[in-house]
Amino acid sequence: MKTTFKEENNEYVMYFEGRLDTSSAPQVQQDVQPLIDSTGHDIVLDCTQMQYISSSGLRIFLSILKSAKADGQHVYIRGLNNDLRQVFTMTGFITLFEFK
Amino acid sequence: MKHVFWRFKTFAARLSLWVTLTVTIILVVTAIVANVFVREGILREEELRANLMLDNAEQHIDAVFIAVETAVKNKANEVTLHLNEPHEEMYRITREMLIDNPIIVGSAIAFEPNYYADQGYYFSPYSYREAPNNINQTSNKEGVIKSKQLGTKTYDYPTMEWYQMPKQLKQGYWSEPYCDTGGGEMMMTTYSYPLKNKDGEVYAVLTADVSLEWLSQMMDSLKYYEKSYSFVLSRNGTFITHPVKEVVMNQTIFEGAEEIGNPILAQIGEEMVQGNNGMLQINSPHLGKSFVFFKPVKHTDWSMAIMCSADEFFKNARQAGLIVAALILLMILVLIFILREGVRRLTLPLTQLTQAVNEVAHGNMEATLPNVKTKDEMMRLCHSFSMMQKSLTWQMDELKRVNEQKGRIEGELKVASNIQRAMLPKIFPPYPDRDDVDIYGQLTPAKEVGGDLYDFYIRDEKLFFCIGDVSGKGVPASLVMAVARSLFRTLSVHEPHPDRIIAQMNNRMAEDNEQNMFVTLLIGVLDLPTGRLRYSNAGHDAPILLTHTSEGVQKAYLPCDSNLPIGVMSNWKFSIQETTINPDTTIFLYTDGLTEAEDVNHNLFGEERIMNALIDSTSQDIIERMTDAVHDFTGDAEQSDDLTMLTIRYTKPENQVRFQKSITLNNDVNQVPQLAEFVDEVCEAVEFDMGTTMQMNLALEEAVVNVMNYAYPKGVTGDIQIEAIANDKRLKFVISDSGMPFDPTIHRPVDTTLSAEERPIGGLGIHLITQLMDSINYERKDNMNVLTLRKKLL
Repeated sequence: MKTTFKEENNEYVMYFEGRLDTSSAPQVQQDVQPLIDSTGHDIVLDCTQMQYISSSGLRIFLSILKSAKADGQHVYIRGLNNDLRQVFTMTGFITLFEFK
Repeated sequence: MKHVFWRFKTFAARLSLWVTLTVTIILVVTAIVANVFVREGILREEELRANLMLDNAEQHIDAVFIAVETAVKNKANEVTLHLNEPHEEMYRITREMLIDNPIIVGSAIAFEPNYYADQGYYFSPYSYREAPNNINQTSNKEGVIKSKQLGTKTYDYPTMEWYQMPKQLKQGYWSEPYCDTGGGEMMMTTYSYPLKNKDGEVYAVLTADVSLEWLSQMMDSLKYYEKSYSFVLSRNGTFITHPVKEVVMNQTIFEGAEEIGNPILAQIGEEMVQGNNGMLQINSPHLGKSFVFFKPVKHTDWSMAIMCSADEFFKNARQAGLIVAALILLMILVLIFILREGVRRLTLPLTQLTQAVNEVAHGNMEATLPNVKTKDEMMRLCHSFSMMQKSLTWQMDELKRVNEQKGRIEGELKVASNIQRAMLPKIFPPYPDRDDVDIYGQLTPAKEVGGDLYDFYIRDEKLFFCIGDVSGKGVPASLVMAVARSLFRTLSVHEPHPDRIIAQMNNRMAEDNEQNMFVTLLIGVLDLPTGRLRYSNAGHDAPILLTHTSEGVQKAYLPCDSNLPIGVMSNWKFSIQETTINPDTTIFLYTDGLTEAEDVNHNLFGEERIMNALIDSTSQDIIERMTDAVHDFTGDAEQSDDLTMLTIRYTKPENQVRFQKSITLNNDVNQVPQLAEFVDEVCEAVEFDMGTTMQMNLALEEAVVNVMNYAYPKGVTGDIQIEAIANDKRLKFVISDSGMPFDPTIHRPVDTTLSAEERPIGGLGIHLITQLMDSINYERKDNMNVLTLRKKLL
């Protein structure tokens, strides 16, 4: 799993590429720490290149969301393919996040 | 009213009839008794009167006879004085006799033969009157008196009775009456008186012939009654007088009695001849029923009698009787009228009451009852009816209310029945796309709602099924049934062990079980892929298994431990039993409504009949045939208990394994990519698309990571074997580890509706597995945790 952080239009954008499974989750958790620590910017999680996400990945997304909400930030997900959207639907995450 | 009255159909008519009858009887009896006494009195009276009349007649007769006797005795002295001048004086004396005594029609002085030598053998100067019919030709009122010498050779008087009797008796003698044939036809009697010399020898007899015409006239004038007559008998019974002239001097009463054949008449004759006084009743040929009063005439030893028709006596009495009878009749008519009117008035309230009660009977509860003012039974009756009317009205209102209530309850019961029916699986076949199990159930409640239950559903390739019977029937049982069914569904969702489901149900139901309701229940869990059957039986009838063996179809009861029914005692330890059934095995479950189905003679259907009726067929056919067998047996008998049957036919096809692959990992999450590689290969082999492949990856990762994280303690390395098996139908992943017993399936599901703040971090994995796979099945087998995930092939 490869992650790339960019600041675009006053938003923090994190690009995910590849499989976000249990084995890659600890690394990703570290990669997103700046997002969790950040304040004052909305966050965009770009999943266009993400092939797979397991519950470990979902937990990371949830931790970002919880932290951002506490700081009054918005968290947007973008570029989610249909298979992954189905996973979000099954878990109810589809109602938690805002989608772009 | 009138015609009914006379047909005695009313109380008034019958009362009138009885009173009238009673009064009539009393009056008639009184009249009869009075009549008898009156007749008796009349008879006494008449007897007295008749005797008086007879006494008068006798006195009259006596007076005549005494006068004659006196006259004769006086002349006898004159004869004695003039014995010396026989010829002149004797004729004179006899003539004077006649002249002095008009009643004497002839007189003779008959001397002893040769008394006077110069007068010849016979000397009897005799004077007599010419027949009275010649009276008009004479100047003398008594007729012409002629004299002659009586004695001749042809009339030898000394030998005659009238001469001999006084001579012998030496005293006066009255002859028997006789008819004088010499002069006019005249009935006469003769008084003969003996003339005696100084020595007492009779030398002559002085006679006086007395005509009895006066007697006859006198007797005929004794008009006692219109229909009466009198007669006189001589001392030998000859009629001296009689209204029928032919019998006078010609017949005795005895001859007359013989002639008409009347012994009573002869008896009367006897009494009269003997000189008795008295009265006798006789049926006379002339007068019909008559009375005869008789009395002797002392002077002549005759006897007189008066015969009178009884009709005459009782004429007045009869008239009085007729008047009395008419009066009685009139009184009865008046009585009937008064009774009829009186009783009608008295029973008028009764008639009105009858009409009112009839109205009430026809449903008019408002009918007005008669207002009775008399304080008697009628008023009490009216009061009673009034109370009854009020009570009836109240009762009917009550009944109407109860019926409305009942209707409402019935309606509600109908709804309850529908609700209860909806609780049971009702679409058959329930799993048309499954070929491994064939299920059919049927519940026939005895009432609208019942206490039987059955249920089944498939979760994680396991068939959960139950059958139960709540103690009792009707609404209470149905409520308990609903509770039991809900508990089964709720508890079995997270609990694959039938004994634990039952134990939890038992604890819930034993709490606050004040009604002491209990349920016999059998819960089974059939693992469809393997045929492993685990079951727990809480006091229910043991199911029957139909199995195919080399010797054909075998029928046997499924062995069941004896456990308490649920709801009896909380914390009871229910046992679990296990067996493996082969394909084409049928499980037949039923409630005691089947074994205890009764025919009209209360014979039970029984286990033997169940065994006989059980055939190896489809589930539906088995139950339909069993139903027919029960109906044939019970006939017209009413169904006494709920009847429930459930058939589960396990028909797992023996599918060929098409693909098999396995991998062994250890509890290191860094090996997840190898797992992903393995899953990708398997999915490619079974031709899953990308999306499904990703889902399989996700499910397997979640399941395996779960084991990696929790099965072994930290720092301990352990193996995890993952085997993928595919046949024509399904792909199956079997994940086995030798770690601590851990059943991921019983963890609570994730609530996906919570907000981000409320969502827990964990618990998503197992939720995803159940969402992604068709079934998830955990078993602890040979100290291994075995988790089986199945996915139907596309």
